Amino acid sequence: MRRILFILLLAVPAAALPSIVGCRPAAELELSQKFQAAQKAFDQARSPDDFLKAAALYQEIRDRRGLCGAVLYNQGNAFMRAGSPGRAIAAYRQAKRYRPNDRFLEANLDYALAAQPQTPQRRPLIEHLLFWQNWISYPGKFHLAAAATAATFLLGVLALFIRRRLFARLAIAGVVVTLLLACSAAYDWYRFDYVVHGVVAHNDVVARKGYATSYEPAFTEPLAEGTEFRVLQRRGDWLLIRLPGNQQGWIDDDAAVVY
Amino acid sequence: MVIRTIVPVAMALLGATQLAAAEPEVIVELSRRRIYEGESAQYRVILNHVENPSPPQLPGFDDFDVTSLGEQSLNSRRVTIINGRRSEIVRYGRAYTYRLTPLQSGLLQIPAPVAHVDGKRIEGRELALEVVAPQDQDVVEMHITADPPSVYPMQPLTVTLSIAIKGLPDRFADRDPTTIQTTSPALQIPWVDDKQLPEGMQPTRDWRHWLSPLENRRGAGFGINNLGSESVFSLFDERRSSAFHPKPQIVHREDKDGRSVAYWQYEFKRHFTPKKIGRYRFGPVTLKGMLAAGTDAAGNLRGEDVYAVAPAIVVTVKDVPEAGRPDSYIGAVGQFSVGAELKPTNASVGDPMTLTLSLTGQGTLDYAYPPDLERNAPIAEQFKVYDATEETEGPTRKFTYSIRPLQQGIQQFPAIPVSYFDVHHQKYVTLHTKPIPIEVTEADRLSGGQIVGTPRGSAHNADDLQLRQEGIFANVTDLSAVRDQSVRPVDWLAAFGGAIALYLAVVAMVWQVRRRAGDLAAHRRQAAASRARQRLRDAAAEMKTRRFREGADHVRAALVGLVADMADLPEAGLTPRDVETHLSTFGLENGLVDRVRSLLQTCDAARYGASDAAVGNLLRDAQEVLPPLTKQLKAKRRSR
Repeated sequence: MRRILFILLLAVPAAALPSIVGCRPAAELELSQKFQAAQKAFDQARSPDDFLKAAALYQEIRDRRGLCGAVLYNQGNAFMRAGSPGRAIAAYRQAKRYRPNDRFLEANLDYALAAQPQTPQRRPLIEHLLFWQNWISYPGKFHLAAAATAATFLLGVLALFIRRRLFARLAIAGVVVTLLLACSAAYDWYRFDYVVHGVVAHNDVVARKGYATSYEPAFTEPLAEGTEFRVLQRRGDWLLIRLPGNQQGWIDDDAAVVY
Repeated sequence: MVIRTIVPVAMALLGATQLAAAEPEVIVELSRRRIYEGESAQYRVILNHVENPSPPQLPGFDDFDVTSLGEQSLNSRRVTIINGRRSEIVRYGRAYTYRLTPLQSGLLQIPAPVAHVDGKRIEGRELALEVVAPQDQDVVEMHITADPPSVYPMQPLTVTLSIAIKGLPDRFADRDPTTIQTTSPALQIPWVDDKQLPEGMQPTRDWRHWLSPLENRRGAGFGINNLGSESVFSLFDERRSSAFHPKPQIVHREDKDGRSVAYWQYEFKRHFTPKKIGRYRFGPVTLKGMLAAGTDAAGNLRGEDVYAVAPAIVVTVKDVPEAGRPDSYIGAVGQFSVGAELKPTNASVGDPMTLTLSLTGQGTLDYAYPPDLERNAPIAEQFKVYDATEETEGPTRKFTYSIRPLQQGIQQFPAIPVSYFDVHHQKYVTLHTKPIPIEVTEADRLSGGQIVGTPRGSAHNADDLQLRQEGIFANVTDLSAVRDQSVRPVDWLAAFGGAIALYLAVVAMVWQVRRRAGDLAAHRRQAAASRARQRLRDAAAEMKTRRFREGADHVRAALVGLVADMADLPEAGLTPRDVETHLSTFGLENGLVDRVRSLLQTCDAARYGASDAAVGNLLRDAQEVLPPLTKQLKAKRRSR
């Protein structure tokens, strides 16, 4: 009985491992067809409107089939060619969550940001502690945390049944690694799903001191397209935003893309 | 369980005396009136009509080893309202339960217990207990020894049970006497159960690790305390009775006829480390079973029921000697090293400093107390010393003192002498900590400038962005890169929590199983039914070969053993009357109790030549009775 329980307990993480380590089904046929159609539209586009139509096709894939780094990257390219660097930046930023080590993506994002005045930002302390935070993709962190959980579970079961000090020590080490990876995944969850980011999508957007056009401008200069911000609050069609320099103001949500 | 059985009995007694005057009284009860030497009886003293009694005194119990098994309040309050009239009956009482182990055989008088209530002395009544001496036999001889018989705390001690069994006759002479019978002789060894060991007597290994190497898979050897075993991978009730077989040694000694004959000698040695001074009793040990005592006319072995007792011994754990005890002795016995740490080492007069004195090693760490530094003149003259705190971390006991220097210019904290008793060399050892260099300056005031902080720096990461001038890179066209990468953290969180919950559940289950595995009484209960069934199968085998007497013995053993195992009682010596009493206490149906008693009486009758017909039905009746008996015993035990 104990042997059966032992084997069952080992089988639980073993069964979960394929999905954890990335044995996923291939791209669906319909998704592939839509992706190819969007790419064809992109290749045949000659005007900004054509590129906007290609971007819309990529958006349709996003809406129907979920987020994908490649789709977001291509959509960012389509926006860039359509002359909407603000929307492109938003797409590239999202793509970076799924393709953190893509040098082409990094270069294109830099290119889109080139025209924007950059305010250097201090990295939060947690990103110094979790130094790998920007090296691993958002889903990758969850897969790693799950793999570490499964491995720790296995070691815990071994330590429980075989009672060797080595297994106990490895299990403790596994708990530490799992907790670190879980923290890393949870931090991404917080900064990507709870914190709302945005990019100004038009030129000369006036940020105001209140959520109506009757309020005074918050800044002496209007915001340029591509200015990135965090959304602090939403009231009706207005967003309270905070700029990288910690300035705050209200803008109309039509003037920005949020993600 | 014992405590629980007191309640209905005592309540009945209280009810019976309801109409009597509510004068304080002492009621005494004895679970058995006749036992074999080496067995114990439960003795209950009930102080009736006493609200807050003190425990009774048991003077003159010199013939018994008395162990308290606990006490139980019998206070009750009953309110009745009939036709609007309210009446209230309040009863007070308390029951004290003891285990009496006779120290000699014969008809022993149990003296009257004495209680003092409101300055008045009241006594219970005397009772008699018949202690039957083991029969005169030379098949088995047992004795217990301790080496050394008197020790200091932390001095290792070995208790040995030696069992000598007479060698088999004739052509069987070279065979081990414990390998030929189907049922192993049963030993009752009090010091097997770790939970029953007196506080302060620590076995070097738990009972499982002690006995496991002696376990014999073929069933040769001795049963001990009805222990059962389980497979390495068994989890639930897959137990069987275990036999333990130490390597025998052949010795020659005289039998009762004065002839020198070969005996097979087996030794069970268990090592202890005493932690507290006192007198510790080991034993008595009983052995019951059928052993070969000769051959019959056909040359086959002839069995004989044997009951043997090894008298108890007392081991004295003595206090360390008064002579030569240094003033710096801190109550520790063993072997240690000492160290001291002082923080900070630079201070002004009056500043608090923390001194940590560490005692590390093997010994009575928990009984060590902090040295009195106020009595250490070099320290007391230079420092104000406050009371120490104590804590034990693994093999280290730490005493932490808060001290304050009294004068400036002190350059070192003096050495601290610490003495302990070394049990290996049986002498006191005094160690000294190393003096700690320190610097004590005159106390001064804090200037305003010292509390002004420095302005925080405004450094920031100003990596230059490298811009590309040649436009954007091309799209991703690789279809393998196209897949849904959406993250559903809640699902992952649920899986993570599920894994933790599953693991905790497994840990809890394994802990529970291991805890149950270490509970000897639970062991017995779980193996009870299977043992009884096995005994009935043995009975069937005997009766098939028309050995009715032996078959009846197996039937009797099955029923008595079942009750003894379920009630965690010694099986040896249980009479049909005892069994009936216990079954009634359990609250079994009267019809079933009568059937069991009738069966046991038939078994006893079979020994003295009952008719074959009567014995022939015995097995069938026992097979019919066993399932409902087992079921009801389990059900009643659960409900209690």
